[in-house]
Amino acid sequence: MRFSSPFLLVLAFSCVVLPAASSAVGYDDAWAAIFRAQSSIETAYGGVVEAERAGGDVSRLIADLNGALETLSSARRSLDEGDYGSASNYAIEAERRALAVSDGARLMRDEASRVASNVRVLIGISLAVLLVALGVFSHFGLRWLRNRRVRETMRMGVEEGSAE
Amino acid sequence: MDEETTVLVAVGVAAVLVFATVVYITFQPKPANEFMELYVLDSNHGTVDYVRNLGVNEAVRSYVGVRNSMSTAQYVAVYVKLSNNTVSAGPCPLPPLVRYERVLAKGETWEFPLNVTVTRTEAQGKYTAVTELKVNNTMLKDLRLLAEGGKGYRMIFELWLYDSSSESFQFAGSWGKVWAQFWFNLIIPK
Repeated sequence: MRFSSPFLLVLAFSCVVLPAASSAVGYDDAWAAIFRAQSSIETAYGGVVEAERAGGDVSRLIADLNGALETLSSARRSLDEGDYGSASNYAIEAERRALAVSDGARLMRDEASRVASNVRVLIGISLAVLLVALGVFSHFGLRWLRNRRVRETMRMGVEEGSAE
Repeated sequence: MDEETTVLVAVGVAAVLVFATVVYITFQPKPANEFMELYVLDSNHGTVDYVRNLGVNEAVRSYVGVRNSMSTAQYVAVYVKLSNNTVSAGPCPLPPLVRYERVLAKGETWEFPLNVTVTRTEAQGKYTAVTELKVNNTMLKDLRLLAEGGKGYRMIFELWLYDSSSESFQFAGSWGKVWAQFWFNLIIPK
């Protein structure tokens, strides 16, 4: 089987130039990727704290965020070793994980806020029901007390009359 | 208003007040005694067997622990520094050799091993300089920390907390016992 010259040229290009281009990540690119990942992790941490303050269980989010931190640590190590391609890839992965944590934290915070709001409404309703119950109790209680006093007064009057 | 009415109204108001107080106390965040803690243990997980004399290429193992007793999760960094007896500590002004970061849940304790090996020294008159050091898997080169006769080196461990308002790590000095150190002398090869 014979190959034409253009075909061989394209093959040589794809074998040599393309892999070189894809791995041609410089120090600046890797450093920028690490910087972005670090920022994303910091933002995600802020989201986790907000979700926790809203009453959410953030243990899973913290575990995921620590996963992102470990990946970022690998990125920094690769950067120090001069492996900028790996550093960039690790940093991108760390950023992706941190963004997922941010999304999860936002959902959890909203859900926790909704639950807290429902609890507040429930307390308000309970308070209103309690007040109404107290009002009804007072109304009928007062009537009962008044009737009892009238009956006692009438009985006292009959006893006085019979004594005369 | 007759006596019975007054009693009933008073009981009603008291009931509402008691209910409102119970609800308020239940939903108020509890006042917390917030603090952070950093500790360093020797290779036996104790506090008595810290290395005192260290030879070149001799590994020393210790354990660094951080406890979060704050009311929320904390993003912490442990800075590991090498210093001598001329530099102040708490915090030490020298840059960290390595840093370890983690997010700690409320009440969580994080402990990790730390292996330190001095791999190269240089004699400079009556001084000795540590020029290469390995901390866990990280090799650190081109150091230049001098100590007279190789005596009075110390590994310093500091706890820094991420502060969202300044978007940076801040030394956690106001949050408890947040730095520790162990001293060692280098056994200089003849």
